[in-house]
Amino acid sequence: MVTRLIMYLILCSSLAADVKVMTTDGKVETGHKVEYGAGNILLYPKENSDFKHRISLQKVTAVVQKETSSSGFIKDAFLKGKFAAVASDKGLQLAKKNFHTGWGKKSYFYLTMSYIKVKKFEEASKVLKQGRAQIAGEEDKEDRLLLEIAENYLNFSKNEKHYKMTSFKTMNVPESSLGKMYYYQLEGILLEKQSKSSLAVLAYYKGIFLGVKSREREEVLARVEEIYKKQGDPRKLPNLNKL
Amino acid sequence: MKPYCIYVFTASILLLFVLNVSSNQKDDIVLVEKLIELYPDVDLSKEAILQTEIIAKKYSKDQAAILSGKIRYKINQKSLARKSFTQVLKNSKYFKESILTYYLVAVSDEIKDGTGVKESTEIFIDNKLWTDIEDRSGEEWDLVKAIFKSYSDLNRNDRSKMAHLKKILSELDIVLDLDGEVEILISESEKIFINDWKTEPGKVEDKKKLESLLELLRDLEFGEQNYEFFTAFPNRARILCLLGETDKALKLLEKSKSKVVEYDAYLKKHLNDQRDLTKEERAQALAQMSVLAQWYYAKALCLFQSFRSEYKNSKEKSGELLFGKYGSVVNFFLCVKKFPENKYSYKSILAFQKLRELVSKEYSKNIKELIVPDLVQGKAFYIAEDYEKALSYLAKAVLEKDDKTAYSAYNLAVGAAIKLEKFNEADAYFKDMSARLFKLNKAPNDYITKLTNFCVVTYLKKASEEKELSDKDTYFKRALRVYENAQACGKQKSNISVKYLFASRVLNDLLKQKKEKINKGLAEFSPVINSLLDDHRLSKESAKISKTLGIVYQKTGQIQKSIKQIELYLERIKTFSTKQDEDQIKMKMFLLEMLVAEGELEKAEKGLSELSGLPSKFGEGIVGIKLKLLHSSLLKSEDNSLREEYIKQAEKYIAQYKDSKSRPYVIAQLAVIYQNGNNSEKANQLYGILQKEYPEHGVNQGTGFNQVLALLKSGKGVEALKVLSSYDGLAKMKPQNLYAIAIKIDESLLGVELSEDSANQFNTVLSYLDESDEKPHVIQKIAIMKSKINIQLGQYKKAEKVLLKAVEAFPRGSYIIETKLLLAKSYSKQGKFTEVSKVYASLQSMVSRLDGGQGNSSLSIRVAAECCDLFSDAKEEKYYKKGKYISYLAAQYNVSKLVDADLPNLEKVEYWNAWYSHKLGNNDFLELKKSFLRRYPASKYAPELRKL
Repeated sequence: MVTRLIMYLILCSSLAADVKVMTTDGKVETGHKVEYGAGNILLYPKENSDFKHRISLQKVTAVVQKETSSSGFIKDAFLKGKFAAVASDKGLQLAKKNFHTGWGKKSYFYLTMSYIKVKKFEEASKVLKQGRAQIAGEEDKEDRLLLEIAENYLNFSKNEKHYKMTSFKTMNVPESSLGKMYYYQLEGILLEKQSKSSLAVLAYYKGIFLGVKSREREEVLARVEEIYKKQGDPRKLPNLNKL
Repeated sequence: MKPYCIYVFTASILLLFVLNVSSNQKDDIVLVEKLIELYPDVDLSKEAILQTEIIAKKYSKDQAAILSGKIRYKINQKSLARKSFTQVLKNSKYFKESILTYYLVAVSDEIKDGTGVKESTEIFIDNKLWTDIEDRSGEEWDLVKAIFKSYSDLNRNDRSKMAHLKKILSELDIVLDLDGEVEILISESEKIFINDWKTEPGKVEDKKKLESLLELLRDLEFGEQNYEFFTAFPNRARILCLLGETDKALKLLEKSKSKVVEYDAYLKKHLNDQRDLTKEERAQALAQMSVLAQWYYAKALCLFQSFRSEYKNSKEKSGELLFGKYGSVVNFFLCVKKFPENKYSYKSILAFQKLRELVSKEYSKNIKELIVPDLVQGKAFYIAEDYEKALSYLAKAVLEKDDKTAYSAYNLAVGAAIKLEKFNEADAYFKDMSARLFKLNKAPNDYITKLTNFCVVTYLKKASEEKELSDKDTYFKRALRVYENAQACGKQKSNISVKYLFASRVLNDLLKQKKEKINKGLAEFSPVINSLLDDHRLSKESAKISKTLGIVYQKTGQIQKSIKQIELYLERIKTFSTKQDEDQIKMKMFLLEMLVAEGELEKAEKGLSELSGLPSKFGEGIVGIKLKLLHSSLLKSEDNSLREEYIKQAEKYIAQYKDSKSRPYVIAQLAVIYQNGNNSEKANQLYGILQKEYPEHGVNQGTGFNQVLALLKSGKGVEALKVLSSYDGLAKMKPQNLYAIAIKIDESLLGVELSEDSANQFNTVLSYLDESDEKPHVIQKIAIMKSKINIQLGQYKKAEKVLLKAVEAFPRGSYIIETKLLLAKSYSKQGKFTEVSKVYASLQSMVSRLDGGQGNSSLSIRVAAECCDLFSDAKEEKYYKKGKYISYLAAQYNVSKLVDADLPNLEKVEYWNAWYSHKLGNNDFLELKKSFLRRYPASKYAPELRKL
């Protein structure tokens, strides 16, 4: 029991660290801040400390950083449906700030999606490109998928008529709830476009039940209700809290 | 085709297309679970079924079948669910999962499908699905055990199945509990045993049952050595004995004696270690739990059985078995003496006494009588359900000086007397007992409390069974007396439950009575109720009784008192549960409804705000209260925004809660609100809903305004008039509303011959409209309606007066033509034909100036048609000439200018044209007659004309 408690405390303390650097020999170095130098990573173990670890970039397998306030801001705003706030210069700056923290890729996803939502497609593709540039290696599989979804979303929104389904079909279903939300939403929209509304409803429900809890779920629910209305289905859906 | 079928059909076509979209099996399956999780709050079963079809196509049919089974069970399609689960084949890798899921869903509290449980357990056992489970401590193994238990419960009567199960269980080293069924079964069969000792041994009724039971008990021999294991020996012996295999039974008993003795020794040692028990208590416990007592009893029975079979062969030899040194009687005696408190010792007492009589009768030998105290003897009879004899012994035991003995004896005596329906005796015992021995009434043997419960329940049950009121009363009084007697033994805590039980039974009984009866009952039982409310105010029972009392008060119409009690309940119950339970919420809603009804709106509003955020099933009730509150506030203030809010909420309620009980009331209220807001179209629409959906409902049948509207809607003008004329609120009604109703009635009476009564009724209604409005059209219309009635009643002078007034006041009113036509009619009836022609002239000039001087042919011919016959009663030629002139002019109208509605008027005019020609002796009469009959052969005027 005691050992378990101690283990738990150790785990908590390592989680509480701001940055974790994993190396090829299986070690995990923790610290407060990380800086990127030429071929090196500089890891500061404490706040305001002059002492720093120097780790060769060749040795580093992953850098995991606690969610920063800037990336948190983008996320919160996005999930609350304040797309205009995210799709702005400030949003771009904040995303850039997270470039090296590991949160950058997600921030760029939010940014791209927000630009699409406010219909600034050019900016969206620009931002998407920047986000893609950060992805390297197999570890970023989930982030890569997110940006892939954003790209499909963008291509579809830009030109609904000439959008090609093939790229969507070859894509894997993401594991994260954020990815699921947008993956299934896009699937629903595409199915609806092909007038397969019953299947679209299922895709939308997947988004609602399995996806992240964002403001957008309300929109999706409204779409489902609209389909019901068209089908002459008298069912009225309750509010999201019940689903 | 139903929409559902279309949905599935189109969906299955679509399925072919979707398969090439990338997919995630886990997500697909989780979605089904999520969709059915919401049922029945949100019905997404259609989607769930479609999703299972997709899963079947994409991944595996078997997986889809399991999911489909779950869905079908959830939406209560049990047979389809069973089919789904069983369609998974044995060689499928999902077979085990399917059967386990099938069992789990079927056995769950929500579903409880006995057939499903039986089928799933049978498949499970037939296919030995437990074999690959390695972890014997995990959840899966518990599930396997549960399946075995369900299987044994369901197949207890099937011997072969049980034997199979036993074999499996012993292989797997699993022990299932056997309940107290064993003892019940054996004792039931033993009942006839000693009484009819001459019947053939082995002739028992439930032979099959006993045999299967024997099988079960035999298997215990290889199980764990627990209490069940040891008691199995005497039980088996008893069963064997009942089945006639006495030798086997006796052998078994001899073989097991050492084990049973060992167990008793172990029991004794175990009890000695229990230091909190006194010496007496230890002895008592040992006597009660001893297996040896059971063993002696079983042995005695077996010997007795041997005696029975031996008796026919040799009387002397058999005597040895009965009362020899090791005979049956001795064993009964040993059981009684060694284990006085054991239940088998009580049985043995009676058996011993019976056998003693038998011996003296058959063998003329005297066995020494068994001296047992009266209490024990009484208890023995009580256990054997021979209450008559029990009572005779207990009556003596009651007089014992030892309080404890007397206390137990009283307890049994009251019970026996009640069982015998000797209520007076029972009451007397109970009274004595509570007077003398209330000090002893302590847990765990608080007989007085228990008896009070027992008696009160019995009496109240009797009272509810009785049909005669006087008989009911006597039982009520009896119950009250029991309570009074119990009260005499102090205000112990245990009395609360008695009082509560009594009071709640009484109140619930009263709820079914009529109002006067309730009030009488309340007065009669108020001491009990008040004592519960005041003396035990901290108890939960007190809180609960205030709730019931509140409901009773509400029924008798004492709303303020009811509110007080319910508030008390809600306040007191808070101390017992921090979380609001369903009952509390319901009571809160009940309270709010009463508050609204009493006009305490602020309080109600406050209460309503506390109810927000409750589960959806209360939504309807809460919205209902909100509506009532809004309606009451609306009635008080007539605020426009409130009105709009009410309309919004009520419309929502009506659309959302179609099965609600208060929906018709809300519809009626809303209709009135619309009516008051001059939106009669919507109001009528709502009355239409009421008529259509709730034809039998009280809202429709009720007196007053709503009914009038409803009647009018269904076209029953005369009835509507009748109701309206007797409506109390007629004088208070808004004039515009009354006016609207009057017009509707007038319209519905068009072409109806009014009886004098109806005409008078209409007159009364119209009399309320005298100085109602200053708008000319309203006054004119009223005048028209009034005069019509007057004309119908023959009061032409009166009609003339009214009409003249209307014409003079508003010569250009919108109903002027109508008014003048009626005026002409009233003149004609009075024989003032000069006036009639004057009115006609003014009408004709008016009509000819219409439509920009072109004249309106429709109106013109109508006027002519209405006026031409007014001169027919005149006797002077000049008036005939006038009539001829009018009808002749009108008859010249070009038919092509007229519309269909004018044709009857044209027909009438042509008829009168011919008629006047005849009266005046004109030459053209025959020609007119011929042409009329040719054109209108089926006309209603044709017969008249042919006569001329």
